[in-house]
Amino acid sequence: MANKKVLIVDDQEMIRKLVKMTLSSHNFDISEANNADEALQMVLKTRPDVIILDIMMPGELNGIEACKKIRQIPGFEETIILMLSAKTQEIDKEEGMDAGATDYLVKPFSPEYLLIQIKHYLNETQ
Amino acid sequence: MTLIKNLSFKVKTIIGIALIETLLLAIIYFTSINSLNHTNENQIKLRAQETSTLISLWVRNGLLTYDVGNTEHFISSLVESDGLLYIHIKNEDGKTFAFAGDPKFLDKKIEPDTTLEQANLDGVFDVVKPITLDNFTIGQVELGLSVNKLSEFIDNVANRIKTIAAVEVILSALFSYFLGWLLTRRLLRLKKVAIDVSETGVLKSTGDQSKDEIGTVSQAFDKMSSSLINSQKALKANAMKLEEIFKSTRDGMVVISTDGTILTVNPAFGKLTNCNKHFEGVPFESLIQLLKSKIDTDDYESVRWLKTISDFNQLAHRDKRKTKIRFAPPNKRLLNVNHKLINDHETQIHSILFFMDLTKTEEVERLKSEFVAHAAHELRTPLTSVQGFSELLKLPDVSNKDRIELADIINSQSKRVVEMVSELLDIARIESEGVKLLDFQTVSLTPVVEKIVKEFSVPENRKPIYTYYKEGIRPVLIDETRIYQVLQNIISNAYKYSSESDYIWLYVEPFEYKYEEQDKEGVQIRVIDTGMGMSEEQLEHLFDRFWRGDSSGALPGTGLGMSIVKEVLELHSATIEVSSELNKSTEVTIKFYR
Repeated sequence: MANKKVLIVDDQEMIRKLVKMTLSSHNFDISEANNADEALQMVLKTRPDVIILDIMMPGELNGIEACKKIRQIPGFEETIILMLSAKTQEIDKEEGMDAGATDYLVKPFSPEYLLIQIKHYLNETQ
Repeated sequence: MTLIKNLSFKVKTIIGIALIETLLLAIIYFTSINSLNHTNENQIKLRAQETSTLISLWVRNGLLTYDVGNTEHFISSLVESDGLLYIHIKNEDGKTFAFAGDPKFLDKKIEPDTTLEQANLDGVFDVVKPITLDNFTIGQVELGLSVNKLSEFIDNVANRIKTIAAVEVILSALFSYFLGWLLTRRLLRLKKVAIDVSETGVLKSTGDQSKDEIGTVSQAFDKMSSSLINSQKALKANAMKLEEIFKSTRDGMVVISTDGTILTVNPAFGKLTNCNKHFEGVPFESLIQLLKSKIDTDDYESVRWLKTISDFNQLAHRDKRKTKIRFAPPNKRLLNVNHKLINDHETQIHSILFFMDLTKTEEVERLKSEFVAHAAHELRTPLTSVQGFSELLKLPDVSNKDRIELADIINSQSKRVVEMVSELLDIARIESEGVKLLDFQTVSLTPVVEKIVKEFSVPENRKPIYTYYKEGIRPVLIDETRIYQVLQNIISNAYKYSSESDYIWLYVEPFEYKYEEQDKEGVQIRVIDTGMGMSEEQLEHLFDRFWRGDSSGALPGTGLGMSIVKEVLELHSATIEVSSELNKSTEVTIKFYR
């Protein structure tokens, strides 16, 4: 079975590194993007199975808008999108879910929990 | 009665004195005429008696001797004398013996008069006296005394008395007029001053310093009017003060009359509601209609408030109610409305509506909570690293090399948290304390900058700061430690956003500017680097809180440095200008004015 592909979208290098190290020994193919524009390009290029998406990023698009755009791309209607944001209020969570996220995780997060969630959603889709 | 009331004091005095005078004069007139008449009557009677007796004695012999000639001669001589009109001597048979005087009395039937009144009927006092001899009547004397002369005299006297009385009345009238004028002149002056004072409101003295009754009344009036005018002035000043406050206050006010109309609105109300209509005298309902057309109908609280307040008769129950109302675009203001019931019938004020602009307050509140949310979010990023990496550190299969790297990351990220917290506190202190926070001293900038440059730890493998200090720099008023912080920030940014091959220059030099059309010399610090520079868009956000030139997190920093720099320089009344060219250079200029 081929490795599952994960795209990490976050403007903070430290966060990308953290997610990368969390997933490193679990057979994932990892790609990175540091803003929404780059993320859309990477989605088309690498066709990831899981997208880990930050919300507050510099540039014209934020994570919410990026999520909506990804959902419009054919073949990505069901792709696992895990929002990972420092916005912790209930209303932010609702906004994220409304934009089409599979789940909404808040920072700071437990790497172990993130790994469990990724595996959980991957098992569900299989 | 009203006629008498309307008469002036002066006329009343004249009439009174004239009446008394006339009464007294009349009494004098009648008593004197009466007594004069009485005296004359007696005199006439006496004279008639004497004359007739004398004649009867004289003509007795003539009568006895029938000597008509001598008798007539005698009586003729008598008639010629004053007042005797006729003398008629009759014999014992009643026939004429002798006659002298006016012939019309010859055949006249004589009725003897006993009183002057009877005589006055024909103007003749008729006397009949028998001529006797030894108790025998031998004839009679009839004679008439003219009373015309007498009554003429009495008339004359009466006329004189009347003339004198008239003169007397005129004189006393004149006197009383003068007296009245003298008295009323001062009263009239008092009246004039009273009218002047009440009409003009300007203090005016009666000038009457005399010690009599009118004088004391005048002085009392002066005192009263002066205290009245003083209190009036105080009232006026007070009213003007209130009016000024009413006009200049930033809060809108609508004063509602007890009859349900608008008494007045202040200019602020017009400004807040974007409406310059005249509301004075307009029914309260019209104001409600206007507000209805302007409020944001999507705002539940505004709509509900208008509904509850729209009935004027219910307004009294809305005392001290507070509501926030929001206006529709383009106004968009948020106003705090406060209703205060007065219900004072004297001033006719029913109640006052106060409108306070909360738009700015709301905006400040929004910015504050946005800042807090932003700060929390920014703190979460390094904390996420600390929490996540420390969890990874616990995993059993981590190599030693990785362990060291993880520990390094945790260390640097926790340092970042500490740095951010202290900078956030710094911002909070600058915002709450402002200039008070700074400790200003007049110092020369050159040694201050020299010290900073000397103490700055230039990163490894980087070129030093090249400094240029102009001679004769004027001292400036600064807080040394804060300027140290500012320069530290700018220099470290210069190193952060440039690479090993780049240069950093620092200049301290004078610059010229105009202040109130006068040439002045200030001091500026320029820091130039040949680093990565910034795009125009990046320049725009340079002073935004939490904005970072490098958003990747590869370079340390909190995004608060430049916003602190700007605020500190603002407290110094100094300016900061940044010009930059992407991938080429950045130049920061700080100008201190003197």
